[in-house]
Amino acid sequence: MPVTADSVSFGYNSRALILDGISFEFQDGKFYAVLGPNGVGKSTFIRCINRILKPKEGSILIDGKDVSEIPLKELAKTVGYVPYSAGDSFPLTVVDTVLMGRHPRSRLGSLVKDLEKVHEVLDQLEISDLALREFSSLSAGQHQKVMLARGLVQEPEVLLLDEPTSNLDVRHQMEVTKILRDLCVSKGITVIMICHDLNIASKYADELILMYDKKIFARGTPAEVLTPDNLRAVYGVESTVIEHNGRPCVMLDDFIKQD
Amino acid sequence: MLFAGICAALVLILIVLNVSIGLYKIGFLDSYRVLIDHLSGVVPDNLHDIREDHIIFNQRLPRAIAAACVGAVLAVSGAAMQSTLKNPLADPYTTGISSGASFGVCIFAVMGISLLPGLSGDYGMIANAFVFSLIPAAAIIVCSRVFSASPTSVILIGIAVMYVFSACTTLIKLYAEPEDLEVVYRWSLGNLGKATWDNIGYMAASCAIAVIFMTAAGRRLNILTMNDESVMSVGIDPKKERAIILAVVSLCTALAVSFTGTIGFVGLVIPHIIRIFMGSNNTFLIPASAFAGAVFLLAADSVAKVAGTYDLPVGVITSIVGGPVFLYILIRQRRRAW
Repeated sequence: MPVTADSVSFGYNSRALILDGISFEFQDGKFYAVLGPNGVGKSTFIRCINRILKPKEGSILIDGKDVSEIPLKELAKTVGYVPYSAGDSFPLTVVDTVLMGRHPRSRLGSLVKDLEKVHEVLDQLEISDLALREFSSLSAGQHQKVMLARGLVQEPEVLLLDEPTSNLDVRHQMEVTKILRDLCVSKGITVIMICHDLNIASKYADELILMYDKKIFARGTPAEVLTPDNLRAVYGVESTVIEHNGRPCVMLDDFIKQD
Repeated sequence: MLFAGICAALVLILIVLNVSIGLYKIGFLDSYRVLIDHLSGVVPDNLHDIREDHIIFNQRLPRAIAAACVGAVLAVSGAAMQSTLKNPLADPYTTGISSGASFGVCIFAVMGISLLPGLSGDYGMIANAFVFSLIPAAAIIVCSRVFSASPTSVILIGIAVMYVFSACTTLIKLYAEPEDLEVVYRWSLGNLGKATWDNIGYMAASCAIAVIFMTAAGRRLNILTMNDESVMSVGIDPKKERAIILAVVSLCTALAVSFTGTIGFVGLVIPHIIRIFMGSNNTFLIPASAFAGAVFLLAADSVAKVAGTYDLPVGVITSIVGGPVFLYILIRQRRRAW
């Protein structure tokens, strides 16, 4: 399902914008990685897509419909979201936590079917053994996989993820990102993932969006975006970019000292 | 189902135990016989049986049913408030119901002001308590909607409103006659003695609404325990949902406690005790809290009737007995409840 951002601006007050006139079209069934330094508006951008935040100007269209006019529950059937933190206040089991993702699709008497879907996704992510553990007792990596499971049981057509691999070791980062990649290919889901690992993004994403100073600084294929010049301008680092298995691979040399 | 069956049986046993306690001695089995005879339409044929039937059915049974209903309402409301406001210290009175109701009772008892001029005596006081208890709740709900308040802000607004009402109540009490003060004081401690067949319907209705609504909302309450962006991402408007839950809790609690006075401890602690044994899933927590609240208040009222020659306020017993029991469970718990 295509998602279009049309001149989206956002700020908590009118004098300090966090996003400034961002336009982008996310195509159906593609994997997008949103990159950029801390505080450039990556999370704000994807929160505008699923109506958690309302843009000050511009609009977000999903399949041609303005998200502000789609009822929240209907929107949740189309757009899944994996937040950086769930902020749970009482200890619930993993099954109960993942089951929350079925809310948009649950009806009276659908609990058995909903639970079947939950266990199917837990199997898919290979975390069935955690099913009856308390969500709050999990490691950070397990925590992120459970939140991913919660997003997947929504059966969304667009999946937004806010740093879903930030607490995972290298192997689990690759595993999770490969699952997302496979979802794009097998189910045609559009995945939009905020990521700080440039090489993971390069390896799995179809397109990268590099954000800087409230705007999109560069967009395109990994080879187009991950260039030493772009990385120097956005992150303030010197780097060497080599090609590995047909994809760019970033090797960091040094950071640029700022006066 | 087994748990529900055990709890229902326990509630029934405690109701019979509760009605067997009082100044006029009627044994447990005799009370059971009197209740069964009455319910099966057996008409008592001698003065002794008529007296027992009257005492049990007209005087004690409404009080026992009130204890069960109010206990259930308070515990369910407490569980719902804690989940909705993501705070283990929230209880049914977090929206300022007790302070509003106390103020209503105070201006009726001390100044003779009744919001419904046709009503006097206990009913005038109950009507005042009900209407005034809803004022702070309404203020909090409106403020939280208008200012898009977070759960913590809702609690802080509740505390601010509560202080205003408490200060007004204190001010009026300064100029009150001692006998009026006693009325206000006894009401604030909670007492089930005002329950009659005429008013039990209100408490039963509030109990039914609270238990059915919150049980049906169990899965949504689970979702509300997460942060607001997680809640929105699964299609729930957290601010709207919070306002609905607060409104239902406030209405049911106000309706129940207007007749009994503010009974503390039940709404705060019973949900936590259930969490320790059954976990925090509201689908089970809500109905289990309803049963446990009913059982606890019935037991506390039975103790109050045994302990006091002059009807000890049940609110005192709930805290004196419940506090140490809760502390014991807390120390021995093996499961993290919050």
